[in-house]
Amino acid sequence: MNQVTAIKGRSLPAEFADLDKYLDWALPTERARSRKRLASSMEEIKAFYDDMLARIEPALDYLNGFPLDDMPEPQQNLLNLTLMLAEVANAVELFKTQPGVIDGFDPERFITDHEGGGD
Amino acid sequence: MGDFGEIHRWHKRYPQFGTEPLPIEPCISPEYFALEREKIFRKCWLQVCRVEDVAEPHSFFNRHIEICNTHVLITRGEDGEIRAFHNMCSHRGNKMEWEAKGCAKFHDCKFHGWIYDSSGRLVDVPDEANFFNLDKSTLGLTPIHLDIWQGFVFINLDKEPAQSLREYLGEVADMLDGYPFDQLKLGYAYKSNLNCNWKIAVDSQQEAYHAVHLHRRTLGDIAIDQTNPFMHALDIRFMGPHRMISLPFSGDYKPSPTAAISERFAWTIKKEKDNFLDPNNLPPGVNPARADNWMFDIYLIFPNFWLAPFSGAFQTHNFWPTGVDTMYQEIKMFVRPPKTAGERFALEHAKCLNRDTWLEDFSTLETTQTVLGSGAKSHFILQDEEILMRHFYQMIEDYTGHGGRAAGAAGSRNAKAGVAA
Repeated sequence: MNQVTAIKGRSLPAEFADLDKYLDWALPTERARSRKRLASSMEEIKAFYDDMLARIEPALDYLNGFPLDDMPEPQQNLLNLTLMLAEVANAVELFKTQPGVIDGFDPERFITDHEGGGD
Repeated sequence: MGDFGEIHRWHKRYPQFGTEPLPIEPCISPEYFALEREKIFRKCWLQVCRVEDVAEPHSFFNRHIEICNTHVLITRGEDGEIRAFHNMCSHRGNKMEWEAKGCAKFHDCKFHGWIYDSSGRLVDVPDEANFFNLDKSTLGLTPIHLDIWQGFVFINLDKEPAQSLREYLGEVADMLDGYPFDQLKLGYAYKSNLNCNWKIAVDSQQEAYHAVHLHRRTLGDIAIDQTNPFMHALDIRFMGPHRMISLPFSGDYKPSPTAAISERFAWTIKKEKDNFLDPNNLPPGVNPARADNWMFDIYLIFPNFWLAPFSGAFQTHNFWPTGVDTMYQEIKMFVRPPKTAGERFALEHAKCLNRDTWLEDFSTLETTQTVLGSGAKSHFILQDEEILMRHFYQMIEDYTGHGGRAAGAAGSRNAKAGVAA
């Protein structure tokens, strides 16, 4: 089901090596990030959210120095981690008790037609 | 903008739409659906794409319009003109171009190889001499009326449309002309097949009453405050068959930790000082009440196009019926394309909030349809903030000439509500 998995040997920029343990959360598409969110426990999500929130401002300040549509791979991985924070934010901040939308429509039937941005 | 606590304020302004319950029948009746096909979808202007979808000469865009039993091929010819055709070969009726979109100077029918150019002309027929008096100049693709407003491409499947697109849009165009639609680009889009009548989905997007409960987790902090706890509208207007509602944001809004990050790095729904719209030169239909706490407006362009201008983005929904209890819905958000990682994060953050909110919206549509046919209830009960639904069903009645009552029931709602003109 999950076509996009962590690629062995990937890395983050050296300044953000403390986030290396989350490399398998650095996923390149919204669908992959959403599936990771829904397949994780709230404990895992909360730990990722807390660690990313502590680093998100330095990460975005750092990434703003790179061209959005032509990031080197370590920087792209870090950007994908920041997008994963955007993905899990609602689970932590809004729904609180479960990863997905409470009483929500099946996300697998809600088809992404266009991702936009730098994807 | 009036007093949010005042009851029945829209009924007082628009008494012609009455206060009665609405019949459920139009959402479950195959006969009613057949009338909608003939009297609405084959007569009205339908928004199918934007000019950017056929940006280059020879680019094309294919659209299956199930309710009208046709595929529509939108092309831009070598001359730059955008045209629409029935995507049907003149020879034996095969669906001619099979790709959803692309760029092609010529289109060839996969059946026998007849070839058409990007302006719809038939240019080559294999073994042509073996036909009888074949005149290629009369056998191009069958054209469909097409017109463009603010970059939105509309078609009309009527042989002779009663009105031009501009006449049809009428006051909607007057209200929104001047909004910089062309400065915003497609940011993200979704599509979903739904097992419900198309009007059930439209109804879920034309009142804010549901937001207070269904979206309490996602939008509660953004849209609701103590002065307006039921998210009463800032303004509601009716323009011919079209209608609009203007909606507020909360005066008590405090961004979540991640929303605060978005606000630091980019435009967000709450960060108004972005100078995208000139507050002294707003189009008359953008925040028509000129409210300080305006969030966005929703325009419902009859029958199935939903258009919402925000300060720095606009959103569209298209509700396409495929049967009396099946449809699909397309959602698109047009934004200023992100140029930095911070802007990209903010776009993703806004997208995830929107998407999770739509997953809440979609959750009720099919569950509603599964019980509508039970016969347990015959009518929907509406409150004042749901007045756009009254107008919508009134327009459906006016176009179909059918009141939505079961056969033999007395009188139409039109007559009962005393709507004379």
